[in-house]
Amino acid sequence: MKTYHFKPTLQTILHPASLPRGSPLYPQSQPLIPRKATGFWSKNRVFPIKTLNERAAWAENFAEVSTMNPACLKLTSEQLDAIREIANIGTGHAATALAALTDWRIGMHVPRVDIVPLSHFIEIICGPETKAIGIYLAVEGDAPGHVAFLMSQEGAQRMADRLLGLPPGTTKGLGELECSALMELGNIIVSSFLVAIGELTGLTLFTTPPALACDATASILASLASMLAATGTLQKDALTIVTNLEQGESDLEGFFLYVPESQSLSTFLNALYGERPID
Amino acid sequence: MESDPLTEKITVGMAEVKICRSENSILIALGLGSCVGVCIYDPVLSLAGMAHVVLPNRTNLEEDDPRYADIAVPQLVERLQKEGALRTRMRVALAGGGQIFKGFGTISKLDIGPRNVEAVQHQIARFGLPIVAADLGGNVGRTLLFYGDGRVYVRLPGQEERLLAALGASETASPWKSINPSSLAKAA
Repeated sequence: MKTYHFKPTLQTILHPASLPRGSPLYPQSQPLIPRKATGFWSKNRVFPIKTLNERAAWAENFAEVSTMNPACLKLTSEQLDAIREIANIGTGHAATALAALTDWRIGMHVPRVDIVPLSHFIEIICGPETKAIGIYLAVEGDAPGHVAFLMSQEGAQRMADRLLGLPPGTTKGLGELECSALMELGNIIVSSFLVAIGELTGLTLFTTPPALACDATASILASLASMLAATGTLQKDALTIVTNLEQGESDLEGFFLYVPESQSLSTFLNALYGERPID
Repeated sequence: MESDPLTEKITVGMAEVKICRSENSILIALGLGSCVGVCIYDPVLSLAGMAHVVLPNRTNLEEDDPRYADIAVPQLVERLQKEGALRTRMRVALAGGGQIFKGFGTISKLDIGPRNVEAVQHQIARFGLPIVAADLGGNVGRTLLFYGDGRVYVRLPGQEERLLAALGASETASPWKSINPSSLAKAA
């Protein structure tokens, strides 16, 4: 299953010039919802949407790229599209690996690219108090970065059942064996992610051993953020790419979070566009 | 208490320093993984301040972002003093500094929690403030709730919140200030 931002409507079929300006079919020059006012990261934002799925759908509806804080990372929309496409291809391979490993149908949403300041990093995935597991791997090589895969604790238990060949519902807590299985899962899907990106761009990328956390979503994201800050990736803002993966039949879902280091962005763009300088 | 419509919730995000003067406010720090939440309270003014420290001491002296312990803590103390608080009356509670990712082997990136704790404690000691209570270290993430009347609660994932300290309820509070009896009962 793949969702698209762009839904062809009557407006896009009719040529704009053929319509009178006052017509309701005339293309809106401004989006109906002003981006600034409804930005993800505006200070007074509340969490109007509860579940992770709803949040992702909501995000995709009105903003492909929400660059609420344009102060730092200066990328054109074309460059952001290129970065998103890299992430899309990589995550597609990661989802394929996950599907092959679990023999489940895995659906994937379009990656969401956000430029997030440190103080709002924990909001990139909603449900801050939900218990979740997070698998973190650092990317090293030509384009360093950070990858994390998050899913709810129930999801992780079902995944552990699947990986260990147990009937569903067997695993009640996450012991050493389950954690090890999940870390290996993270290792495999992140490796396929990197292989795909490496083939696309011709860069050499590899991972560090995985680390696992089992805690509230906010704590996991906060720990990730402090690691990113400690390594200098998250100076002021970070470009985060979140892709929502879900199992075809059920509500099991996971989040694939990719944070390239800022100098890696230009490495990717150089690799894609040749040595054309990035303005 | 959280359903009380009069209660104003102020979220202290990562690398933020916030103070509040109202007894009906709560300062909340979500997701203290390796971060340390620093709560400072002046019982006489019922002035509460919280800093969400992300990293230990800065390496580059030109940095001035409150993500570092050696900037956030002095900044918090200074802002409280600007509001009239006195260093002799300030009382401190700390929480956080855990290490929730495991299985990383020898890579030292992950020991930010203990380093944060050390840096924050050093800064608090520099100002000579008393640490009334602390819930530090371990491998859990915490949520820190700091009520405007000085009560500090810590919530672990999937558990009820637990009283860490009542910074307002003490003999150092001035006699003409009425002390909320419920906070005393909880502290006892």
